[in-house]
Amino acid sequence: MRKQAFTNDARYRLGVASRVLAAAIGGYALMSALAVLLALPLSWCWPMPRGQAVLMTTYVGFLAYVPVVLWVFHTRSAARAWGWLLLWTALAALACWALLQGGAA
Amino acid sequence: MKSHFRQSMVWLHTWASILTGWLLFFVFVTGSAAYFDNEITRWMEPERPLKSALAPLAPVATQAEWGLDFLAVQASEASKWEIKLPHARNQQDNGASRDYLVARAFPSGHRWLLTPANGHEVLPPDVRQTQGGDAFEELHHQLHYLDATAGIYLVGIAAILALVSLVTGVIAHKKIFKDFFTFRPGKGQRSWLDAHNVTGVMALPFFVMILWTGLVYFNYHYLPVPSKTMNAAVNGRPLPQFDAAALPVVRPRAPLAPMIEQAEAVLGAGQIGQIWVEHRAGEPPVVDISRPWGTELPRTKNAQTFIRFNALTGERLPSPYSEGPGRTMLLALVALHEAWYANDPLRWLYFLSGLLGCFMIATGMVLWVVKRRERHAREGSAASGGLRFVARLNVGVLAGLPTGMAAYFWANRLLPVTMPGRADWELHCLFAAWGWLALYAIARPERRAWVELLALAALAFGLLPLLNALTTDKHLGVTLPAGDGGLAGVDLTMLALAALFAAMAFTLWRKWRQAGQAKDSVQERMA
Repeated sequence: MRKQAFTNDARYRLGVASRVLAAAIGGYALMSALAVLLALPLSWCWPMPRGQAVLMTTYVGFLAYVPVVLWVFHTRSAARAWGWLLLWTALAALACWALLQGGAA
Repeated sequence: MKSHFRQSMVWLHTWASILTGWLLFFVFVTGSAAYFDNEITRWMEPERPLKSALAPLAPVATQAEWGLDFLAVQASEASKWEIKLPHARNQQDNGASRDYLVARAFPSGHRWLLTPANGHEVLPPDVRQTQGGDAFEELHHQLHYLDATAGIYLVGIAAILALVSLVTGVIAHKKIFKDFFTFRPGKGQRSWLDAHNVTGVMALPFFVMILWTGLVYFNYHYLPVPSKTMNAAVNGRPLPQFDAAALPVVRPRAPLAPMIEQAEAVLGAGQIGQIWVEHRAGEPPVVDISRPWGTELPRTKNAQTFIRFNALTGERLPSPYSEGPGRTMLLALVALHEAWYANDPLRWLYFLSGLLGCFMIATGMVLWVVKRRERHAREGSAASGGLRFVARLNVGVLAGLPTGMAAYFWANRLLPVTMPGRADWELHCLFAAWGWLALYAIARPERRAWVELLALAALAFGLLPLLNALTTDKHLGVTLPAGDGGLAGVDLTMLALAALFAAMAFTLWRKWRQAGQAKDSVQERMA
């Protein structure tokens, strides 16, 4: 019984630590990738140089980071947080890579 | 599910806040003080003259011509001249450029002070060595006793967590608008919660603005990857290049008065703060005229803010500068954070909002302790080590820092004027006083420590104007009759802070004495 309580407690703490890392590292990576990705349509629509557009999206990135952190601590499990963060960051990074390759040519 | 959402947000609010609370308190206290950095610097350099003792100003064009005459003799080989006219809104040079005509030559950067009444060179007043109000601005963004960059990152982490705390705090809070009008004093945990909510909600837009613009301020530190990616992918040249070589500057052949008249038509009467002269190969020599640097919102260089003339003919030229929208937004957000654009009432609003932030943080830290104590009292369980640790350090950190700030001012008046490393020792005094008080608070019974530290803060601030009167000739008896609002304002603010701390100490003392007389047996409950 006691041992059970201990493992539950340890699991809870590990979960919290994992979420902290997910929010800090995963959230930061997602924010960086999104800042690049969103700068591209902004530079086409407004029109402005990409260097200027990416400045604007980084400012918004600080604000966008907050709901990501909230979601990481709200979602059912740390594994879920990690999974979605990795998926979205990978997709965003891939899209950036494809667009930047195309755009630079 | 909805209540689960709020619970997780309350949890996040609690932990994001408790981990950063003390650091944020320090950043908010020093940041609030830094809004009056120029006034504080003047107070800490009492050798500088009173505003009324300064000679009356000559017309702007006359002063500018004196500056050019002076530079033509002193800096004939320079690549660029700069003339800063005395202006109430000048922020640079520690506010010295509010009182003097400043002539400067580049690339050496050498600086001369001229009297704005006759254009004669004066030596800068021989002031005591101090960092003045600039110290608070530095402490605010890069802390102390550690690498500046490390400090910038630590403050940035605290700022993003504070933004998380703000949003989760609003979510956690069911009836934010109704509770704003609710204050239930003397009701223990409820009262602390009310105080925390009222201070938090009252200046909520300010907090969001100040935290966001603070993060944007160090954009290149905090979020470097996107810009690096873009620059590498697009041009790899982040800054425009000025390739043309700079030729030695000569005195403009055209008179300055018509240029100044034209510039004032765009910038506004009395708005001219700076004049530059330079000459790039292949272009005519030019005169540029602008407002005092940094006082615009946004502080960009463009046709509306940076007026260029041909130095040979005096004819107006198109402004060479245009900032992109990204830069413009950066400069607007930075200007919002620093408030250099703000006039006096708005600056006071910034300062008071900053103080509200200090109260929001402090009441939140106390609330964390009070809430857990009440729960332990209900359940009859013992307080954890973490709770005792936070409760004890709360006293030293929150009630000790004001006295530390006061110690900085005391040191400014009491350390020998010729002491080596004097400016550094003023700051050592701040941290030494704060550190010793934190240790003292740990050794004392908790309630007594609160009352004693707050009373000490009241004394430390309340006696400063007296100390000032004993050690300098720039005290209230002189500054008030002379109408020097900046200097008198610092002394009067110290008295107001002293009254505030005294009121807090007295309220706690009376409350706990009554509780003691009523033989309230609830152990060590703060309320």
